[in-house]
Amino acid sequence: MNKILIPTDFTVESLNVLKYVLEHHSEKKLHILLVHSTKLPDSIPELLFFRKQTLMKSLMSNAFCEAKDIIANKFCSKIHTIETDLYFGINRFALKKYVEVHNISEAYIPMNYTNKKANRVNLHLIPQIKKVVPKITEVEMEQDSNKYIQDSVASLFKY
Amino acid sequence: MKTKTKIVLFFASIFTLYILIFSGFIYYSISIYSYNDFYKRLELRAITTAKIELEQPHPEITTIKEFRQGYLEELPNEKSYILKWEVSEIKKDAELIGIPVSFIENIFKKGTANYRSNGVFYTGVVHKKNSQTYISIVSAQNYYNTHHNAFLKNLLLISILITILLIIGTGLWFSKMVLQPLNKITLRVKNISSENMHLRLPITENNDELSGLAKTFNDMLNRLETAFETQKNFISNASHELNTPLTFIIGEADVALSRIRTPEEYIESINGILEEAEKLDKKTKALLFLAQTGYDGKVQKFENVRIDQLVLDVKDTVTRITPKSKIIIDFSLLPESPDKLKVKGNEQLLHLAFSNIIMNACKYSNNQDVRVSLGSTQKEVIVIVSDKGIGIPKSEIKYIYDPFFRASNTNNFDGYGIGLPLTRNVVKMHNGVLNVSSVEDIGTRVEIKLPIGNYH
Repeated sequence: MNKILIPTDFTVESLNVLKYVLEHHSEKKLHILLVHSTKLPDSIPELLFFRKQTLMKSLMSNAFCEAKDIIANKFCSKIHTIETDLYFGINRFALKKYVEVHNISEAYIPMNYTNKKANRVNLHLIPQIKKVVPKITEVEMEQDSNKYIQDSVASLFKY
Repeated sequence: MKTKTKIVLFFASIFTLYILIFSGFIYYSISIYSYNDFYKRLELRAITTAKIELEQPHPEITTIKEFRQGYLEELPNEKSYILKWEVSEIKKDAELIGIPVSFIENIFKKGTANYRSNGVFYTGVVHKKNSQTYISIVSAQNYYNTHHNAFLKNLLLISILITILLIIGTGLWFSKMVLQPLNKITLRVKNISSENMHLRLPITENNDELSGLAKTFNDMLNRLETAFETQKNFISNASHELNTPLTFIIGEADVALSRIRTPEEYIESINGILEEAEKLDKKTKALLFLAQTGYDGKVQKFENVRIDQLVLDVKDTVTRITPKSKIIIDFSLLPESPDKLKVKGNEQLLHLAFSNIIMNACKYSNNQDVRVSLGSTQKEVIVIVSDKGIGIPKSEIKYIYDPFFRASNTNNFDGYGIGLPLTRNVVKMHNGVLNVSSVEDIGTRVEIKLPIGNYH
């Protein structure tokens, strides 16, 4: 089963791509992989007690989970699975391997979207995806003019 | 008992127990060791005595004698006895030396034996010569036991006493050090009363339990201060709100009664009075309702409510009351399954709550677009009402749930300041969450979250 990759920064705003995919994709049952790129901890004690799930939970906000649920409920019949995953690679080859292992055939990436949790690693992800994944669709996103600083489910609805 | 004494006692008793066990063990092992050592010395003397006395013409005897004189010092009260083993004679011999018969029998049976009585130690060995058995017994006073062990005993007792004193001292110092910040906190909290509610406890940099306690106290003081302020505000606001129409009514009646007027004038002034009386009635009713919804113990009739239906109903009601309002309902993320939209609740109360929020949004945005969006997660239905109105000033947002509170930028709008607290009470009753975020002059966003199918 082929999966669709969507990069995310774990903000509600970035889920608009997911909404777009579910609205426009022709296939009936979709496997979706939301990927957040981050760095592995680099101290020994942190690595010793490292768990991917714990790190992921700490990165995801409550609003993000709620928004994901809202979308999942809306497109219940179109979704087979929605997974969230962390990607720790730095270069293109690592991403290539990741794409192979997860059987990713398509990627949807936001156009002119400024990553909220931008770090050096995260910024590289979108250009790398463009080079690695066979089929790319760029989604135009309306920029929220940052009226409310806090992340909220409201970013899902057009204002 | 004070915690300080408790800590000291606990410390002292544990350490004393430990030291007692420790020194008891040392004393016991040292005395056992010194006894065994002394018996060995006696044994050596008994053997040499037997040799010297019984094997007189032997060539080695002179060497043994020299050895004994040269190396084996005389013990205090050293006495030696040589007995011939004869069963009939034992009793007499034993009485003569002052030892029990069983001791001599033991020596005969085992080859050597020890005996001790009143600080005098006896050791006997068997010596055989020409098929005749002799028993050599040496006795002496144990100088080591009486002096060394006593010295050790004294030493241990004195050191135990010193240590206990030291421990009590350290315990007192320690408990003082631990409890001093607590005492400080107690003293400071004592000083804070309803008059100087703004005082706070100092918080230290390090993140220990005590600074946690201070923080908790400060949080509690914050809440208390807000509550006090709310109550003060409520009374002044309520009296003001109720007083305004009354003043008008009294003034109007006074003016009307000042001289005889035409029926038209009477009708006009009575109409004015009626209008104000109606306002007063509305206000008191709203207050009553607020009090009712705020009361937890009241049983409300709860049934299944579909939130999407409710939102449409509310839209109808609001457009009927204010025809100019523009409400845009966004159902783009409505869940596929209708079960995810059902809430266990009281429809009238929820209707009231939603219409309050939506009417506020219309009112304070001068009838610009108001968006009502609906979505549901696995557990909650989320309704978001957002407007492009005047917003709420940042410094006032914490008071918006106070009854009769009205933000400083609402002077051009009618209202009593009861709607939002009422809505919050209703949402709370349904175990929901009401979340208001706003930026002044840009807009306000209200999120209402109600749990799905709350069937208990």
